[in-house]
Amino acid sequence: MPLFRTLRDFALGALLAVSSVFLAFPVAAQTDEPQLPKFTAAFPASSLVPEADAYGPMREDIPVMPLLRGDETIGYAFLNSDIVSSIGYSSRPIDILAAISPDAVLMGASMRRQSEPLLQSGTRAQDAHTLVQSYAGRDLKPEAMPGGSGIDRPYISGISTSVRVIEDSLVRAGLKVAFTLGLGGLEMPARPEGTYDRVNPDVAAPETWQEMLDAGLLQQLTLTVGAVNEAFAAPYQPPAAAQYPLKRPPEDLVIDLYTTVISVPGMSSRLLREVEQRDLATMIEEGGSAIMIGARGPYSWRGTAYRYDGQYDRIELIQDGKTIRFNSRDYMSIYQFHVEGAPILDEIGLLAIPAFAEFDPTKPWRLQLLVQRNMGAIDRAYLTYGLGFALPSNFVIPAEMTLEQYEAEQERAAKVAMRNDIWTARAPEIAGLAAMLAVLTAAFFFQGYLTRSARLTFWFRIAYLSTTLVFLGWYSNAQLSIVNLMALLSSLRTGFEWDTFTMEPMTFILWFSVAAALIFWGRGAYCGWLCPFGALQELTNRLAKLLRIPQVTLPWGLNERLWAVKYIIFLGLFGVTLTSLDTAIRYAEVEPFRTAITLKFMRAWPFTLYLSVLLFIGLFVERFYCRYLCPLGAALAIPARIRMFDWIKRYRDCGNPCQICSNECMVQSIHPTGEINPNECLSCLHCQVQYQSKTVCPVVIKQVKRRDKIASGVHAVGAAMERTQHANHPHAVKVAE
Amino acid sequence: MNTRPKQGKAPMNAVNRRRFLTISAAAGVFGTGALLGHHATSQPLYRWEGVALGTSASITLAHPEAKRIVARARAEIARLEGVFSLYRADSALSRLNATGKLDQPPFELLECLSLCGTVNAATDGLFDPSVQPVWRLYADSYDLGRAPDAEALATAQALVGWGGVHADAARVSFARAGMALTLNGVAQGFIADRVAALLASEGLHNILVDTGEMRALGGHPRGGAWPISLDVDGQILPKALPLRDLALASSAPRGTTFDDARTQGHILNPATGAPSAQPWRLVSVTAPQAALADALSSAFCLMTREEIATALTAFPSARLVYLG
Repeated sequence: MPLFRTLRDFALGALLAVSSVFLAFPVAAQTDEPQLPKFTAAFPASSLVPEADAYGPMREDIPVMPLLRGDETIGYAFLNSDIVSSIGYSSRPIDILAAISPDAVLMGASMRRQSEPLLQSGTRAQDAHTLVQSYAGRDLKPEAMPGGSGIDRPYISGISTSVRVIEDSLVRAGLKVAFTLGLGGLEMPARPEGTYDRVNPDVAAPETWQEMLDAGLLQQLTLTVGAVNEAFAAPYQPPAAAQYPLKRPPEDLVIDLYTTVISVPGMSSRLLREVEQRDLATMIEEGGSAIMIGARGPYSWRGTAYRYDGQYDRIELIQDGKTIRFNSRDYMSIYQFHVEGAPILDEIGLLAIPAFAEFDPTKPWRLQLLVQRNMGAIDRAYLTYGLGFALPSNFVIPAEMTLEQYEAEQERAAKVAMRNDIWTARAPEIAGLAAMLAVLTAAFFFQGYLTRSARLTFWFRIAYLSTTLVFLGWYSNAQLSIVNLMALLSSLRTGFEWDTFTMEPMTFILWFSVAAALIFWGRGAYCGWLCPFGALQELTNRLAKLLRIPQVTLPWGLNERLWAVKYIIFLGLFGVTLTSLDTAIRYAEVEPFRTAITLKFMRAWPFTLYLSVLLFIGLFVERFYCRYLCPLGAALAIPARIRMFDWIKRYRDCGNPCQICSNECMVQSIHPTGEINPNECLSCLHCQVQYQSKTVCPVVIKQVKRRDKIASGVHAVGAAMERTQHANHPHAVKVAE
Repeated sequence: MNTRPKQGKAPMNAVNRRRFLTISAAAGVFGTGALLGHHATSQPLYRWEGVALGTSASITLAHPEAKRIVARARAEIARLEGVFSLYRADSALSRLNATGKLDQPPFELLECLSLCGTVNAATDGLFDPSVQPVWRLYADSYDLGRAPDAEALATAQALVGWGGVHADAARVSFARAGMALTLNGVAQGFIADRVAALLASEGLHNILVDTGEMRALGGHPRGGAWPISLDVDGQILPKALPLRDLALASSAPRGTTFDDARTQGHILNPATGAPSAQPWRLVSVTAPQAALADALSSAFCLMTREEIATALTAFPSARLVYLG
């Protein structure tokens, strides 16, 4: 006991210490760095696609590497998990390196890393490899259609979740690459409304020219003779420029220029007559815009060169590093604005901007005006003036979310859809599990009635354990594992997401139930009843007992010390998880669950041998693995003392001197002193059968004798006896601390 | 800083590069500046460091929206790299060099060429962007580990000449096939000016734009001027140069060399086709515009002290702040 307590305290302390270290890790230490370079470094291009001989440098917009043959790009390599979520059954990504052709056909795919418990055996892993490779030649173009290609998802019995994730992540990642790179004629789907700022078509501009200027809906650039002469006299201008000044008074206009985005409905409806609005509408293509430039003064913003080549060489529009130049074919002339206070302008032009120029009217832009001065016959000097424009915010409907947020939402929706698919497909199993949980809960709640009959309790248990082994274990693969906990722990560091853990319904429901059961009863509900491997051990041991194979009872001192081993294994795995989840998952093979349950013994011989040894020992030492080795059991035992109720009843006399239950407890969890160790108890209810047994329990036998005595002669001291019984009742004594 | 390979080509083994300008610790200025009350601000100083035209660049300012401002400045830098870069095959300059003509030249290219013509005239042709064919020959030869041979040099030299460059708003063109321009002796300064103008047009001030050459828009946000230390061959001069509403450009003829022996400096004399024969290790010029300072500092590398003084008379606002 002291040893155990020390150990438990140590374990708890360590758990707390380690978890605080864990949470103290800066989240930023986990990067979303693309893993593609790492994976391509370890996998030659020619192995992915035989014709390829190298990878090119990774693109910056999307983690994709060109696949090269000599200097020619024959395709594009990507890692599915870089691009979409590919979290599988294991709560870990399934990493597939794939290549897509310029025609959006997958050229090759190779499973590079997966932690799927069901895909660990040689044959299963090989199946998965073959499945992934079979994606070579899959055309993704039909997948871009609404409803996808309609291709039936390949099915491999028992691993539907993993297969679904492989299919889903590979197709979605491939499509995203194809969209981004424009492969196979696929284009990014039109950016959904709400992810970008839009011009509000319903806001009207104010009614007068001056109000438009004040509101920033018109921008004005005024250059006077004096300002231009001064600018051309600047020291870096050709010295000759100063020798050809404009000879008019300095306050005279060179140009007085106004600009706006005329394609904004609120502006065009104010500034243009209806016929002009119609003409403008026909000039602007879908997704395009138009600006207005109107000016007065002797310097023409259109210049003269356009008469020869159509190009306006004195104006350009700049937005976000893009330069847009204008051609006279995109020009429409306006004679005059019919707005109060509008100046008489010499030259008013509406200039259409095509959609491909990607001009965004909601974002700031600036107009640049080139002013040139001729010096003699051929020499010219140049000045550039800028005029900034930003559409006032009341004309803008702001985006509801960024494209990133939208994509994240899409990604989440895809995951939810996939999860719903999986849950629907497994509905019968879910129902079965729910029924089992209901039965077990009832059994625990009404254990007093159940355990009245030793025979009923025995057969109930045998039946339940058989169901657990065959249905939960071998049929549904619903075997919890320390790997689940390690993945959870790891996710606390990388960002916990419910979706990751709800993908696999049986595991999720079981874990949820375990959490609830821990609060009510402790670890026993799972370890003693719902763990398929536990059931396998107990059932094989039952058979062994039936065959009269001698049972070994370990000396108490040794038993108590061996308990420690599982905590050490658990803490070891915990520690390794902190450094590398992948390594920890390899070490988690200390659990024979995969071999025994998910893979049903069909595995490489070292694993099968290990499992056989454990089961063999289990024939002599009941539940040997559970008691001394199971790291999952250890993990569940640590919080066992938080349970709200003590359901297991004891008498004051238990252990003093009676050792019947203690001797019969299959996992030796009852101390010689009579207390039950809740960290070890598997809630098999055997001691509760004894507790009520009129043939085994000395306390009951004594009571029965007294009762008989009272009933046979002396008058009712029944009440007193009742009191005795109550005083003996467990809530006073309980499992001793 | 001025570690550019002055004439364009990606950094390579043969071109050895080195930094030689630094901003003094801002803390030193903080005390006096704040006491003097020059636009002292409590905003933390924000500094972006990146690359412009292949050289390390930075923008330093104190503003609550510093990141957004820098993002706009970077977009402008990227746009202007699309005009002036020799590293980018799709830049306006690269297209001009490749085909010998460029229709609808960007306004910035016109303005920059106009400035080049001005400095070319004032330096008796010693500043000449059309030296690029010779520069290219040097770089390619030393890449193979040898000096260019005389015949090739003569051929390349025959292509040099500012008079062969014609520019107007409709088209820039060359008189002889094979001619090419490098604006690496002026473009960094030009970009600094454009970025400064963009920021100033938004009403911003107290910003230091460093695109390889420096342009101070106002002074240091903590007050006082921007303190700039010159670094001559690895030795930082003790006295910081105050920069306020002024541009500073520096050239080190041997700071970047074609050969590993560090004898063939990267600034070539357009008249002879040979690296600078002058002894200068560092030439620093201030002027109201970084482009002008940049062009002058490049040209001065090829000139004697007397010639520099003569050239400077054409630019009264420019100053030689270091020559040695």
